[in-house]
Amino acid sequence: MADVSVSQLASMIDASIAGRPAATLGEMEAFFQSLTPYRLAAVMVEPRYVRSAVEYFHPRKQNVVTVISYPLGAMTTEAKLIQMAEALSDGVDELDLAMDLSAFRSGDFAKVADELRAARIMAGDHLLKIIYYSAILSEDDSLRAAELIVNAGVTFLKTNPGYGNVTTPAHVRAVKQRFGDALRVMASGGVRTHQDAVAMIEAGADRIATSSPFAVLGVES
Amino acid sequence: MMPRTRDELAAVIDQTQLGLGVTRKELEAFVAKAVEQRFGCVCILPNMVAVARRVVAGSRTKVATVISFPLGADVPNVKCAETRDAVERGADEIDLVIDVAAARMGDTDAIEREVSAVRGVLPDGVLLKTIIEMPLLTQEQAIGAALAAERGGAHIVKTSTGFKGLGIRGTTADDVRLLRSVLRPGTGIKAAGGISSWPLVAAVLDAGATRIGTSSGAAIIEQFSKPLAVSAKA
Repeated sequence: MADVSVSQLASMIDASIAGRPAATLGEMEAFFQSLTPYRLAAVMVEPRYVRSAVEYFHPRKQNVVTVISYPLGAMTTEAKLIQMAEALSDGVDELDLAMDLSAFRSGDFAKVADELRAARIMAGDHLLKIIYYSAILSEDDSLRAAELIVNAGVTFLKTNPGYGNVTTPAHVRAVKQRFGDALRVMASGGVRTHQDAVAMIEAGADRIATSSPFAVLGVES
Repeated sequence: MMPRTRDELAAVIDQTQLGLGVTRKELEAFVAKAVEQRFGCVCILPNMVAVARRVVAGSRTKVATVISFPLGADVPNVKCAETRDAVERGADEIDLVIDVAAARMGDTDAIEREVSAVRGVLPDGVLLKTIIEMPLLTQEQAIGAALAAERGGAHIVKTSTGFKGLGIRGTTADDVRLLRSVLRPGTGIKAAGGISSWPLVAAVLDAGATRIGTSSGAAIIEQFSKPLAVSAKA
């Protein structure tokens, strides 16, 4: 693992902009330009910037991902589907959807599952990842959430939305050990350095979400 | 205006629960308590509007929900659809996060357009509050955003989401004074974000706030009702 190349690591990264929220278009464009030397798994932008990102990155053969019902997962299923449809029509390649954590913690698993199935259908051929809040759930509940997600036909998990929800290698290991190759996992939340990323990958992470892509790549201190 | 009675104070408070992963039972208990304490409004997340609606039935307590919360980074179509969905489920009031990035870029036309579009999908009688997230804006940007929201048809301009994950400062009486100095007298101001004690509430009301958003409504009412106990503690 220690000798992973920059390009191999880059191909596992979903990169988002660092620093203050509500970035301006100018700040986003500078961020886009800073990423052009690398072929990443995806560039993560908020819904309002999907069109700009698609316009910039699609000619460069770089995928764009956006977040749905982010970061709280508390929109209604109907609103989540509309938000997904809009992002898809704006040209987004991948969608990261936040699970309804309230319904899950209320034990309303049927509601969670119905929403996940509807989202999978809406996503069509586009990659869909489900944020399941591993930083908030117990390991048992994380595994139960992962099972609901897999049973709904979605095979990519995203651990956390960030915003103070920190992922540990143990979170990643728990779901990877249970589901193995049936499931891919993106470690998201608190992955800031090359060492953080390597620890996640050693725990089984298939992808890394980070707002510090250069530190993770080890190409910038 | 300063409240003279406990009930006058309760009437201007939006008792708020926007926590991540709150269960239906927890939310039902929260709303029932708010009704019992005669808060004017509860402010809750969209997936809980229908639940809250059932609990407030027969009371005077209104149901507010948040749209594009907490980032405001959705396109106007989505904000409109989310608002329509919330109203259908029984929301009386809409707390809409504006396009904060547009505010930072000084694109006040974009803010006016989105607020106007959302106002356009509201039936008569549904109140529109627009959250302009002042902690992320300069004074000039905040004034531009507030006036654009007012032009777009906002009934109330709200200072901040108060979302902890953003790591932003709380709302101050100066924020409210700034808004009061530029908005029309008929446009309300909701102070929200870190307003957790009666002295802070008194300060923002004195500065011109007409509503308070807080998750500490019960403690604030208690401090208002027992001013001596508060000063003894201090």
